[in-house]
Amino acid sequence: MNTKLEGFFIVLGIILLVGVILMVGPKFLFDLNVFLYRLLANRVGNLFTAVIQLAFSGVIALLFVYLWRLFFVFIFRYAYNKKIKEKSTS
Amino acid sequence: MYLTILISSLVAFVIGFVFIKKVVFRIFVKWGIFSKDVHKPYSEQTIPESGGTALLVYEAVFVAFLLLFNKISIEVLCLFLVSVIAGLIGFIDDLKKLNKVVKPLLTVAAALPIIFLKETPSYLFLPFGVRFHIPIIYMLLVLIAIPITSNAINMFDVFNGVATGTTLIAVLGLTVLKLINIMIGRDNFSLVTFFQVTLLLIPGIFLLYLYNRYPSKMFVGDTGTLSMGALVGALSIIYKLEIAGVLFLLLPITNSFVSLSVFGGLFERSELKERPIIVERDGTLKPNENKSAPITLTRIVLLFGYNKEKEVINFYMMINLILLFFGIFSYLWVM
Repeated sequence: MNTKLEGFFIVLGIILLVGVILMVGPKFLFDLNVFLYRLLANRVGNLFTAVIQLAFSGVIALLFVYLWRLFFVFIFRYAYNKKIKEKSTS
Repeated sequence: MYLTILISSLVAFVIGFVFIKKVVFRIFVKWGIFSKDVHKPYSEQTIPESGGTALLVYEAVFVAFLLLFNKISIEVLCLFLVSVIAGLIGFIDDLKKLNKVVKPLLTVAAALPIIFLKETPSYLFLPFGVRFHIPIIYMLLVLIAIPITSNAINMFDVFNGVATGTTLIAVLGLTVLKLINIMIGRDNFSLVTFFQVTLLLIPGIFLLYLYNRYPSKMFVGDTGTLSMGALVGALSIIYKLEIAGVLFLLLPITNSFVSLSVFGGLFERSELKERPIIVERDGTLKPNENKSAPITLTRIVLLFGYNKEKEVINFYMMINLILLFFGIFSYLWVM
């Protein structure tokens, strides 16, 4: 595939993926929190359940942010190495 | 009533147009408010800066007419104040260069009209029927959201017409979504208010875009970018289309996020030891191949072989258009 087109679809793909995660993420987090509440509320009480829910949600949100950044670092490295390779072969 | 609003907008548009021709092109240049286009080193043309003041002038005239005819809605007043506050901060930055931390902090002030004038919703509606009853947290989110959107657009003003084009597409997307929601009965937002808001924003931003698109005859400066970004954020909140607003601004948000996270925090361009891109004498763009140069979205785009300014602009605008359709269809599907 033409490099420019490849670059366009890679960047577009990552951005759309982030968009999809933003759309479905809240539902996923909500369902996870409901699950945790049903699992833990009677055993550890509401306060601890809330703390655990917050911790889980926080970890997942931070993981998303970390992966978002990582995707772009990967894209950069891929594009950079490809460029260096093209220069050395030409 | 619609005719009055339309005529107010037309008159404001003409005044905004004249303002650009007489004030921005002549007086601003005379006062030294201009620069050269860094992506066109072959061109000696001076480009007036702070053209975003034309948006403020358009909005001021439009609002003045609405006040005169006693037809202004609280939403329009709110958006106007948001725009003016952010625009003023931007204008000060255009003239005096504010500190990298002070500027984003000051843009929090642009969120205050929403807090004080408009009753912030107590529910945050998210896709797939999720909703949170968060009256106080919502207010905090408003105070965070406006600086994020205004600074995201500000950081995305990298090429001719990219910031204005992105804002125009985002506002169009929010407008279309709101209109669809009103038409199908999902929303009881007043049509008159909707018409006023639409005419407050779209003609003014379009006016900026006309002169800022490639090749730029006018730069909007931080006056324009902070103002436009704050407007998109405020519009998303007032229209209760928060997630849609994020989707339409995903490209500038991603751009800011990549730059800030890789750099490790807020930064001024002058702090960069290496520039991310190199501009050749003939205007050809090249990615800086030095490993210590910062990773930016534009540098990534150039590494994929794009080397003309127009190509990169088309790249960004195409993604924005795809996000527009993606945002509208997926929002209608999941909400």
